[in-house]
Amino acid sequence: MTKLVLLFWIFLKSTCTSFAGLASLPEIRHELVDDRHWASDEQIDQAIVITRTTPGPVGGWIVAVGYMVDGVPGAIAGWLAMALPSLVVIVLVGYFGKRAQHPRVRGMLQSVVLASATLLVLAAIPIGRDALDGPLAIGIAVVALPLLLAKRIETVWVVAAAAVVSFAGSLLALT
Amino acid sequence: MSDEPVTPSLREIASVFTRYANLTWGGGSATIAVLRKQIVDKRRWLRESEFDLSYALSRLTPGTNLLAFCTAAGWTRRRWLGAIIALLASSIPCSLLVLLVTVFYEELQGSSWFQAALHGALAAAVAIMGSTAWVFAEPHVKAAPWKAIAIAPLTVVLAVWLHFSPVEILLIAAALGFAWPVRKAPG
Repeated sequence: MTKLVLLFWIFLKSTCTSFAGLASLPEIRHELVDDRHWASDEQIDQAIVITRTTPGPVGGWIVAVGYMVDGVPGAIAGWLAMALPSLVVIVLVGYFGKRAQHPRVRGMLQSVVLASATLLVLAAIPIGRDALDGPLAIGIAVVALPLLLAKRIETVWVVAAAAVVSFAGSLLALT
Repeated sequence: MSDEPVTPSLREIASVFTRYANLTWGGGSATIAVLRKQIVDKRRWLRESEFDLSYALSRLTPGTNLLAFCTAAGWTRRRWLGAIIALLASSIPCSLLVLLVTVFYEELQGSSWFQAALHGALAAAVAIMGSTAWVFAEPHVKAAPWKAIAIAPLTVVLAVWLHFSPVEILLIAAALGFAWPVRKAPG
């Protein structure tokens, strides 16, 4: 029980002081691998692969680490630590929502959205470097981009079609 | 068309966030773009300005941005219950998927069909991230092109050459935006 509470505390402390999915990685790695030896470097790397394998937020990697350290209760501790900090946004929305029409608040929101969009492009570069490693993968991305920009097709169908094409390509040894 | 947003039932919030917040590769922002299509364009639960507010503030909230966005969106229309249901609907299914993949990790790693399908999904994720960036930026690029021309290269310099963290960059952007007010709402 003490281990579970401590695990939850380590996760929560790290997620509350980080602002992106993998930003909590160095602190959690330090606590669990170096300090307490509850997990290995290989397991942490595995958790990162798992979060990239599954849809949804990258922050889900702590659910995988939680399971590796303490089974299903550990995974629940990871989920709670991932979800709870989100409630802070209610305070922010409550405060800024009342001032949302103020030109300076609009200016702030606009700049943050523009900077976020640029950061997103930068974040796509390393994923692209890994994922776009052959003609088929590059072809999938090139075809998917205009389809997504046209907004006529649901993203989930684009992802499903990409998975099927890649699978078919592997059968035909195109990758 | 009326600008009045539609107030969803709690069941609708649970259904939409379960279906659309858990099925996109490419991380939180890509998933938020999928949600934007549903809750701004299609169902009109949020106005453009409310979406921007929820998205920008979710990027400045500790933890997982996607979950903060869903919480903010739920809270905007249905206050506490909406926030909690959106948070649960957007975090439980993907956590269960992570758990399943962790349990069956060895088998999935050895499965050639799974690896091939995942490879395709990740290639699509690159396109999703690129299109998402444009979907978010487009109204602001059109409304304030000079601000976009200033902020985008500054972000690249701060992130790539000066190694600022994302939240530091977003706080700098917020400060710049405070000094560079917007008189007219985008969109």
